[in-house]
Amino acid sequence: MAPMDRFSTEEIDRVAALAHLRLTEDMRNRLGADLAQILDYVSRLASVPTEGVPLTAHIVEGAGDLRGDDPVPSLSVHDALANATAADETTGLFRVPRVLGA
Amino acid sequence: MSAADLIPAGTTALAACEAALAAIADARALNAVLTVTESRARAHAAAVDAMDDTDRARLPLAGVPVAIKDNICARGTRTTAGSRMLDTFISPYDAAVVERLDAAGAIIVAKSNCDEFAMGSSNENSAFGAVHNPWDPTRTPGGSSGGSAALVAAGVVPAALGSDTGGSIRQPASFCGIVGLKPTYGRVSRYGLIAYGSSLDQIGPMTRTVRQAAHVLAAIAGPDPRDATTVTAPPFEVPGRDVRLQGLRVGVARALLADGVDDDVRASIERALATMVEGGATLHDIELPHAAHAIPTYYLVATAEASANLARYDGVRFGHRAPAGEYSDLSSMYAASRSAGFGAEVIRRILLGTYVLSAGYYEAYYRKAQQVRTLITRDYEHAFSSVDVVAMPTAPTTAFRLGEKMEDPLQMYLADVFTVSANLSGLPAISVPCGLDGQGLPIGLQLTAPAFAETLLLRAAAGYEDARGAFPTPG
Repeated sequence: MAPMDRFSTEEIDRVAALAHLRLTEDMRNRLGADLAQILDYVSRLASVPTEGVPLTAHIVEGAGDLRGDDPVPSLSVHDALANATAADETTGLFRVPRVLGA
Repeated sequence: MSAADLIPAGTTALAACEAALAAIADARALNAVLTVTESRARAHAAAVDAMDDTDRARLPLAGVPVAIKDNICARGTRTTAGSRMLDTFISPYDAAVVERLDAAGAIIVAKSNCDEFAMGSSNENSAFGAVHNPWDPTRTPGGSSGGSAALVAAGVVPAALGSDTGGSIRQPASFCGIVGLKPTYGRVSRYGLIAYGSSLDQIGPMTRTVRQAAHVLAAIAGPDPRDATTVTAPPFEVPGRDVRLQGLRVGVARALLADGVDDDVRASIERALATMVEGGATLHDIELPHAAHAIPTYYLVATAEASANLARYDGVRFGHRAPAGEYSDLSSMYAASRSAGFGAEVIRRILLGTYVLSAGYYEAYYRKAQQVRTLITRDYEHAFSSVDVVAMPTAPTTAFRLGEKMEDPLQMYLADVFTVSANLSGLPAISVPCGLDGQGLPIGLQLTAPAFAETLLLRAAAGYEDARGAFPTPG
C-alpha cells in the first residue's frame, strides 16, 4: 500500500503534536491509514493546471466592512467565566496549571 | 394558514408551542433533539400572545415553533454542537439568527441533534447518538443538520434552522423529503454559529415548502456588524402565488449525471426537469469542468479552516477539561482535554487540516485547493452567463443505512459530491423534494443560482414545486 509510506507513525505524531492531540495506539493506526487514503485521494488536485490562477481570498464582493471602533456592551466577567472548569470570579481570571516556575 | 403559512390561522403562540413540545416528546425515538427549550419557549410564546393584534400582525413568524441546530447559540441554553467537548456548555449570548427569530415572533422549542461540530453526512458523528430518518428508522437522516431535517419531516416543527458548510442543510433535506436552503455566503450572519469552516459556513432554513423557507430566510437574513462577511445584499422576494417557469433557463451538466448516481435518482431528476420544461422552462447543456475536483478541494479547505477554528477548545475558557491527574502541565492539559472531548471524525479532520497547513505541505495542498476553488467559481460564473439556474441531484443516493459508511470516511465524503461547490463558490442553492426511489425514500432536486439571486432561485424552486404538486410525508 504505497500511500501508507507517506504517513508514517512519526508523521502522524508530528501532526498530532502540532494540533495538541494525544492519540491512543489504536487511533494512531486507524487514523494513519485513513489519512493516507484521504491524502492519496485529494492529491489528484496536483493534475489541475492552476498557473496564474489567483487563490480564492474573498467569497463575496463588498464584504469585509469593519464596524466602527466604538465601545459597546459586551459579556460580563461573570458570564465570560461561567463556562470555565476553573476560574476565579474575584480576580476575573481563568485558572490553568502553573506555567512559570513549574 | 397564517404566520407565513407555517401554522394554522388563529393558533395562539402558546398553543402552537405546546403542540410542538408534545410532538417532541412523542418523537423521542428519532433522537433528533438534544435539548428541549421549553421554559424559554413558553415565556416567549406568552409574550407574543400578550401583544395586541396590530403588533402581533407585524411579526412575520408570530407563534411559529422552530428547532435550531445545536451549533447555534441561544442565551441560557445548552449548546453542544453534538460534541462531548461542549456537553455542559451554556451559551452566554444569542446568535444573530436567534435574536432575529425572537424578533419575528418565532418560538424556539428545541436544539436539534447534529454531527459533531457539523462534521458529517449522516448524523452518526454526534456524541449523543445518531438521528433516525422518519421515512425509515434504520436509515440516516443525512447530515450534518440531521436532527433539524428529521423534525421537519416528521411534522414535529414546521421549520428548523440548519447550517451548511458542504451540504449540511441540503443533503439531509434531500434524505428526509423536505426543502433545505443554503443562502448566499454573506446573506445570513454567522454571529453565534459555532464555527467549522468559516469561509463556507452559512445558516439557512429547513421547511416543508419553498415559500415557507423563503419566509424564514426573510426573517433571519441581513447585514450584521458582528459578522464582517455579511453584506447589504439586494433584498429578495418571497415567491408569490403565481410564479411561472416560463422563460426560465435551466442549466444541466450532463457529464455529472453519468457516473456514481443511483438510477432511481437520475430518473427522478430527469422527470423533474421534464416537469420544468412542461411549465415553460428551457434546458441547456452546460459544462462544469472542475466539478470533479470539488470534493478534494472542499476537504482541503474545510479541514484547514476547521483545524484553526477548533484550536480554541483547549479546556481553559469553556469546553471539556481533563481531570487533574491526567496532565502535568499546561501543554499536556490542552492535549488531554482535546483528545477526550473530540470524537474520531473531528480528530481526523483536525489532523488533516493541520497537516495540509503545516510547513512543506501548504503549497501542494491548501494553496492548490484555493486556486482550484477559484476555477470552480469561474465555472459557475461562466454557466450563469447563459442560464438562470443550474439543476442537479442534491445527493447521488437516497438515505443510506445507519452504519453503512461509518468505516470508510472517504466513501462518506463522496456523498457530498453535488453540494460542496455551492459552498466553495458562496452561491445560494436549494434542495426540493422531487420523487421517491423504489424503496419509497425521498430524492432531492438541487437548484443553484448566482450570488444573491435568491429571488430567482426561490421563484424557480417554487415554480417547480407548484408543478410537481403535493409531496408525500413519511409514515
